[in-house]
Amino acid sequence: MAVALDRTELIALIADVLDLNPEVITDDAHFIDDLGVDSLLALELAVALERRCQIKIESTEIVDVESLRDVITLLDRKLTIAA
Amino acid sequence: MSEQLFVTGIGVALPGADHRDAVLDPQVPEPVDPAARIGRKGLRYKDRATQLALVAAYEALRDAGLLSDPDDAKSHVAVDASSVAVIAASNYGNLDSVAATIDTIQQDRSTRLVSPINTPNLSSNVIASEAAIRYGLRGPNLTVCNGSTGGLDALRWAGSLLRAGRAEHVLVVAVEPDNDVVRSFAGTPRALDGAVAMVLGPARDEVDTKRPPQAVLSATQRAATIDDLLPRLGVDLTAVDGWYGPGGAAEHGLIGQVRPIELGHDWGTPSSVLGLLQCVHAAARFAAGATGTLLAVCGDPADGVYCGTLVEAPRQASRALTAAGHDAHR
Repeated sequence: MAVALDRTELIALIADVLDLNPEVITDDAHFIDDLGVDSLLALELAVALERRCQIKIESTEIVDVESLRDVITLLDRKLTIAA
Repeated sequence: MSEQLFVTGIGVALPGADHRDAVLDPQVPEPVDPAARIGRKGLRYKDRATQLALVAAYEALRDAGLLSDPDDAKSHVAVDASSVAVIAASNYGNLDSVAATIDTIQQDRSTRLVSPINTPNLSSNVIASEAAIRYGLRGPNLTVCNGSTGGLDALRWAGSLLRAGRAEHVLVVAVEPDNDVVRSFAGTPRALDGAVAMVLGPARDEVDTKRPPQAVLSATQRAATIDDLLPRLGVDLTAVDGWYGPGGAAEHGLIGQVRPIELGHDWGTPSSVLGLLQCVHAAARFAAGATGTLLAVCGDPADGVYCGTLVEAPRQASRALTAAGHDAHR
């Protein structure tokens, strides 16, 4: 059963995984250029979202995720499919 | 002593003791807070043992004067990076990470939910490699996981690297974490939760009279019993002023007329940390004015092996060195 997150919960989860203050996770802050995300952290983020939202994210899908906006788009798609 | 190792830096991250001299008279034991000691940045995905080791490693490298910025706990060394080796000693270091990952795999019947960023913590060498990455140490890098003698065995490897010219400085860090997994595995009610680090290297008083070595160690030796150990160390017992027993206590009593030295504090089951703790305790005594030679012994009858090293006060050792040099010159 897929679990949806509201925006605040999602930002808190990302901030926790990336070890950053939630304020810096804006819609368009670039994960790699602005937030220091590397490939390992990106995979960690995917696994954290899988656990929390009870969905499956393929490693190929996380490659295209570069910002909070992309995460929301990905989750929307996943949760629509799951529903 | 035929081979001499010079202790040029010491770092301590123990509950109630955050520097060398505090080992003699620890404060009320509070768990070590690594973030308070070296900042939280870079610690997020490190396991407890690695975090503790990074604290002790920073202090030891700073104490040895090797860091480019002594006040920056993420500083790299200022000397040739390839000349600094790292040897970690730990028996239970990442046991909790390994157990947690196995639990995750078992519950989900797959590796899908295994944390990718936690996987480096499953490497047996994670402590030594994280210390090398953080402080920029590109010399030989290895982990000794060898039971109760592990700490002193690590010193033996340090001597080997120095003697072979593979390194000019060796960071030796012994660390154990305390958690339910360790307590269950080791069958102990409380394990030591901390780290002790030493930098071994060239006698600093040859290059910097303001920073003399803090202790001088003999080559570490191993034997099946303590009685067999003494001749291997080539020790004249009348010249030894005290000895540290393998239990961290005095239950072994006198060796000859040599009195045992109590560590004087219950740190929990010390495992591989004991050997370095003994050496640092000795160095703290020397700093407080004691002189002479002390004997550190680790081991366990169940393992059937004991390991020992002589720890000599620095000034006396310098004099011995000078005398030896003088003789050679003549």
